[in-house]
Amino acid sequence: MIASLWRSSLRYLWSHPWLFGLSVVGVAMGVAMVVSIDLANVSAQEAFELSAETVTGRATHQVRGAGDGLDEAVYRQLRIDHGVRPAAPVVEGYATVPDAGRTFQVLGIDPIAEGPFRAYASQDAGIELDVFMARGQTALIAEPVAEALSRAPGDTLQVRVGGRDRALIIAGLLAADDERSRQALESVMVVDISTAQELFEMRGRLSRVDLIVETDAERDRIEGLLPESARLDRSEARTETVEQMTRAFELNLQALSLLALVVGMFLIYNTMTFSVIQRRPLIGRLRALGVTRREIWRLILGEALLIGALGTVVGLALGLVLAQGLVVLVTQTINDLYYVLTVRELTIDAWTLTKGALLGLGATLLATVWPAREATNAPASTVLQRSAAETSTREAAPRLALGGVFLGLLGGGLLLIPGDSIALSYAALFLLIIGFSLLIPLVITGMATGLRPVMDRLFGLIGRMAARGVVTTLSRTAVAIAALVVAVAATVGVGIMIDSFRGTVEVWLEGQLQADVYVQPPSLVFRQADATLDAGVVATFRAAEGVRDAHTVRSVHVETNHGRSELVAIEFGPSTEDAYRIKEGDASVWDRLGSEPVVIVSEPYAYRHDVEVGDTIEIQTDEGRAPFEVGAVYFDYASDLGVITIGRPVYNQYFEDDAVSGLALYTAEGQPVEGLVERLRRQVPDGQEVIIRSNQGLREASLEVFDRTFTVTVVLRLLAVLVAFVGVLSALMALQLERSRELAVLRANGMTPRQLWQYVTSQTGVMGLMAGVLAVPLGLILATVLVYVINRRSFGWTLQFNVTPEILLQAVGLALVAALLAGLYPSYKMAQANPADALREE
Amino acid sequence: MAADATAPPQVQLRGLTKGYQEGEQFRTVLDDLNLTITKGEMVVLLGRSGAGKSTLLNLISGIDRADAGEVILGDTNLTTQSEHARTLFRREHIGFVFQSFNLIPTLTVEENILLPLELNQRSSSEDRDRALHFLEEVGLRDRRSTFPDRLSGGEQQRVAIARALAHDPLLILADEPTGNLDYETGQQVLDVLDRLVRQAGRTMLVATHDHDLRAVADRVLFLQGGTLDVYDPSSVPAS
Amino acid sequence: MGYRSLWILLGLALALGVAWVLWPTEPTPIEGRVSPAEALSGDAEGFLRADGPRELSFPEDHGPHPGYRTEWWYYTGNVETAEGRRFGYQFTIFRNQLTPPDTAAAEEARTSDWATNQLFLAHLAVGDVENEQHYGAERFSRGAAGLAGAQSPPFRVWLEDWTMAAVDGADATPMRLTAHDDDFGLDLTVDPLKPKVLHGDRGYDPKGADPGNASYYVTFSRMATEGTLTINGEAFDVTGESWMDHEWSTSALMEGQVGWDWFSVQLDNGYDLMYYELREEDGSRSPYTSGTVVDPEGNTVSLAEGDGVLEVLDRWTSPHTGGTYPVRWRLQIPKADLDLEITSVFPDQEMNVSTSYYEGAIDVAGQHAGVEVQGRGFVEMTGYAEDAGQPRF
Repeated sequence: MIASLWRSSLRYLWSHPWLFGLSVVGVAMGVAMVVSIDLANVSAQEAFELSAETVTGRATHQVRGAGDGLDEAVYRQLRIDHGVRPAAPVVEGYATVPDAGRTFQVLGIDPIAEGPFRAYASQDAGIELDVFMARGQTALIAEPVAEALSRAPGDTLQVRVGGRDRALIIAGLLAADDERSRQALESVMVVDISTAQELFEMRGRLSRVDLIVETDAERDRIEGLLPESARLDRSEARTETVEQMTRAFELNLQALSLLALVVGMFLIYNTMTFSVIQRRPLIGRLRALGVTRREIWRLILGEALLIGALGTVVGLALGLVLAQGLVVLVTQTINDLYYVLTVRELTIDAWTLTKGALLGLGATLLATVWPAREATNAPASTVLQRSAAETSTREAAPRLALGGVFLGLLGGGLLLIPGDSIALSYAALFLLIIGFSLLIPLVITGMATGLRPVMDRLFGLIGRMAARGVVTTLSRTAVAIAALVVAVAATVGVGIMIDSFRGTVEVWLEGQLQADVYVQPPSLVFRQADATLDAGVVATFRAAEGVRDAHTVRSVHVETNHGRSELVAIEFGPSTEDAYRIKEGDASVWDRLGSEPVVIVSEPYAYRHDVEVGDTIEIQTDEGRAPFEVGAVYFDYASDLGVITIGRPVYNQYFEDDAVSGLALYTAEGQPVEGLVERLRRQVPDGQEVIIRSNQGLREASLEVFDRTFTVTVVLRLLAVLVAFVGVLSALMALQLERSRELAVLRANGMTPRQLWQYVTSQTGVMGLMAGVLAVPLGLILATVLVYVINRRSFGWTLQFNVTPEILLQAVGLALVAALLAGLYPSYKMAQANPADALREE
Repeated sequence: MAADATAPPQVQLRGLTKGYQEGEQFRTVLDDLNLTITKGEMVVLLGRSGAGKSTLLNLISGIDRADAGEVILGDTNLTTQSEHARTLFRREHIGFVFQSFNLIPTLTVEENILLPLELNQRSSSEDRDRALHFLEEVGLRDRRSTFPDRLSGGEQQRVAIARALAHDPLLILADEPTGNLDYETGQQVLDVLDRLVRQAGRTMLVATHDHDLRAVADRVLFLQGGTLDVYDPSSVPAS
Repeated sequence: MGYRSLWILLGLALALGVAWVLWPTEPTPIEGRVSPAEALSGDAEGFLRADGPRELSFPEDHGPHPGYRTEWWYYTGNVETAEGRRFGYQFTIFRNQLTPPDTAAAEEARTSDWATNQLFLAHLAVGDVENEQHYGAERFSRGAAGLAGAQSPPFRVWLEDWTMAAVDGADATPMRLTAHDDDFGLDLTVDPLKPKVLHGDRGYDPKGADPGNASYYVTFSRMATEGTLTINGEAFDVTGESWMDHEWSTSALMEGQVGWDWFSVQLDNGYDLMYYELREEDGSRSPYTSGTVVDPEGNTVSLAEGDGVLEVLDRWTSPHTGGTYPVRWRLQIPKADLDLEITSVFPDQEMNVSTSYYEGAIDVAGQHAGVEVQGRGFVEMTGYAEDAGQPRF
């Protein structure tokens, strides 16, 4: 490439610092969002995998039981009677350390059996059995954790499990051999299996038995040895199942971040188009001097590459910073909805950064292809007016619109393809966005014509000029407005989606919460009842004064033919039937639920596993694998993983389990609810923390968690708004700055600075208004797709579409304000400048 | 006539025809035009605005393509060449001087002059020295590091002439080189053209409506109605 | 200017960078060590002590004695096939109590079946004399959750599927020993040919000046043995004679004692001999040397300090641990009119498990009351290998 041409390019960019800077910022923000979301996701995944690997060790297979654990006799049978070795018993759970302010994965093991599985937890690692095993109530924690808590071996560590406070003695510190191990060990607490059984009240039961099985024959032999209630799984299969729980959640975050990149692309497109159009005469001159088309093409792409590269570098750095915050939000949501996860640090994944860089450069180049073509096709000439290009854009507007309609139809068609591909849905969504933006040139031509009389009435000649100016510089205004529309529409769409979701959940909670008081042990994952209530508490509360009626729920995790799932056993209370809104099936199911092997499943469960009323689900019970008929599908928004609900009497026939996960109480006539809550709180026996909430309190708590789980979405939405804002600012500002010659002519002809300000801001204002207005229909389209297609495909939920006028007004306001702000600097600059200078400039 | 009539033809135009669609109408700008320019000849092409002077220059330089006829420069028949080949031919063999000077605003005076050499990947020190010598010839050596927007119109045009000469082209084309200049500055530019082009034996075609240019011409032609006539001062009103 | 080469260079650097970051790396397994809580390890405080003679009562005293820190059931024997192919075997189960019986932690109501302060170890060894090959294995388990334990009556000591148990529940003897490791194992029935021997004073066997530095020590000195040994999948039907020790204590060794040399001998004239010496740090013999001579009817004579003279005739250095062990001795016990030359049947009978010691079959030949005698037996030597712990501490 020719050095002088490059120099020429660089000097051009340098002499337009605003334009140059803002496009770099545009790329940077797009890249930053994609990278930060990806980093947050990868970090969460890595933390999960690391913790899974930490507790799985080298086990290839695991024996698990039905419901809550495995009879420990199975371990003895396998290891002693049948010589299945190596084998290691595991009791695991979670414990919160209030001093550390976080939750640890508690791994209860027999250090003697650990060697082949988890060397760090074995006798060989240096565990002192006389302390660790013989004293009991002891724990091993990682060295850095002990340091952070300023604890030494021998000190006491207060932990909380299922609302009960327990004191453990630190029996030793886990010292990692390498960095990865250090990270892994930081979130585990190793205890003796006896201690674990006592912590989690699992006397006589194990979470699992770990095995190393090398051949299929051995696997078959072991399967043959297991009792009905137990099953053998591959270790990875378990990890994969858990990982899949968050896949839809992560995919949606990724898609939202891509949206930011698309807005960023519009920004780049805008910049490059602007710079190409502005340099048309220059390019023509170069062509006349004998610069070939290919050289021009390379020149423009080179400029884009420079912007892309700078933006990417800044974006990667920004993304790393942003990810520090996002990973907290993502982790919070996973903890609220799916499983306990501690992400101690950001995993800086090289692939993510590479992907971010490729996306940044790729998006920039893609956005530049059109302007570069435009530049290449510029005829070599000595004299050339811009108006030719403008005319061509105006002439092209109907053609673009036609293409837009085509893309829109294509997107719509994609949505109609049955199936549950989320990626396809997003592809359709992007097609709709691009299709819509292609309509924009035609639409704004029409709008400008319509607006002219209005502007005339409002601002006179200046107003008319402003409205007309939008059309005369269509090649750039259209892009700027389109960028603005897409960005604002994205915020509208996501906003409506969140509102619809929240509205639906509110209505559902209203129906779901029929009892007056709810009692439950504290739970680590809000939407999952993984702890149990003391039998004493249940009895006391049932009999408490002022309680008219009560019913319990029990929640366990079971293996089914559709994989692991939550099973909720409900006692029938006076208004149980009102609490469930049946989607498919009829009311007769309630009678059968009390006595027959019938279950009802939540809507997400039915969707995820493609289950219908009348189908059969096989559940691993203590009585072996048993078939249950699906009696009905009900609406439920508590878990996107799906829930199977069973009547308690039937549950008791199949499971040896009399524990209770939650208790719902109904007050007697005339009893104030708050009074009862107060009385019950005083009756809680020592030793267990229980959460007693009124109907109102639980509803508020639920919505609070709901809002928390959407924080990350809201943050992404705000970031998209920010990108949009920068986009509008840069697009409109560039537009106005570039018109300095025209403005100088106006000034020279006697326009006062004040009039100039009016002219510029009314023109950017018109564009902002147009964008805001156009963003509303596109936003509604996006919201519709998000609510009815993507949410349904991701989570299986039916949501009620809920549009508030505030969101729409916000959108128009946002566009208008950004546009008006964008007019400030150019009009200030022109008002300050000497018109003569501008006129002299070429 | 300073040019040698027996010298080989440098430019041959045969039956050149070109027209434009303007709304409903088709307007023929050049109509079966023939012209031969020999090496070392300085031809001045007069004509009214819109007579087709620029079109003719665009055709000769290969920027535009004729509807019919041939353009032969030296041994090359441009008519049969692809756009890309014409561009490469242009950068190597043609020097341009425009009415609006058309310097590249983001390059310094020196860089502007060296641009044609760079485009032709000729960066030997002799080439550069020769190019810079022209800058000296037009009297602007001390302004070599200045950007064009700091130069007066006459200065810009002198730079443009130096640029057109820098790569020693077969043919120099000029489109209204004095059009944007006042009388005195125009005279300076004419002086430079006379000295550096005509007296140095270079081949040049100047399109203009400035009759003063006749002073430096070997031959004066008049473009009217799409064809060339030998200039007859009595048939044209002075501009 | 070479812009083209600059681009190529940049591209190359980029490609290299991308390749570098994307190069697949094998994740290393999670590794770590435990830095122990030294301050927490207790001493002998709080354990029961063997501090004087007690009336032992059987079959209960064949069973475990919780409260004492250490206890073992120790079977050694010399057996051979009908063709005369000779093997030695050792099968031991140790019970280690990790904390004193009345520590606060132990008193806390612990609900888990896995909660225990009892740690069981088992050592299993077979010596293939013909091939001079020694097979050894070790297992651990907590003494809880049905994984390992000891009881009597009925007599049963087990660590997972390695068991030593009364054949018939009512009587402690005969006993059946069953233990199989991956490469070798045994399944033997042992039946006493003489009544049990209570060493020292009614089974109280002092090992130091402090009355607490002693053990209770019960032996079946000669047991008819019959059953099967398995080595690398090959089964050998064997018969022979075994020796069984059952000993429990809290601190048998005094400060400064580093190990011992212990012999069990069955002579062909019907006499049995147990003899041990404790060694001091400086290599000298501790005054607490002891032994018992058992006549064919089972009557015993206790030996005390100065009753025996043990002279080392030959030594062997272990290629595994570098420890140098005696492998040939002359043992003179004038009090019992014994003068015996003892030879390890092959040198490498070192037991290399979590501790290293020597447990080997021996041949004995010499004079007893002026008459030529021969015999077989076992030697146990501890404290020779550098990193040797003390299996019977």
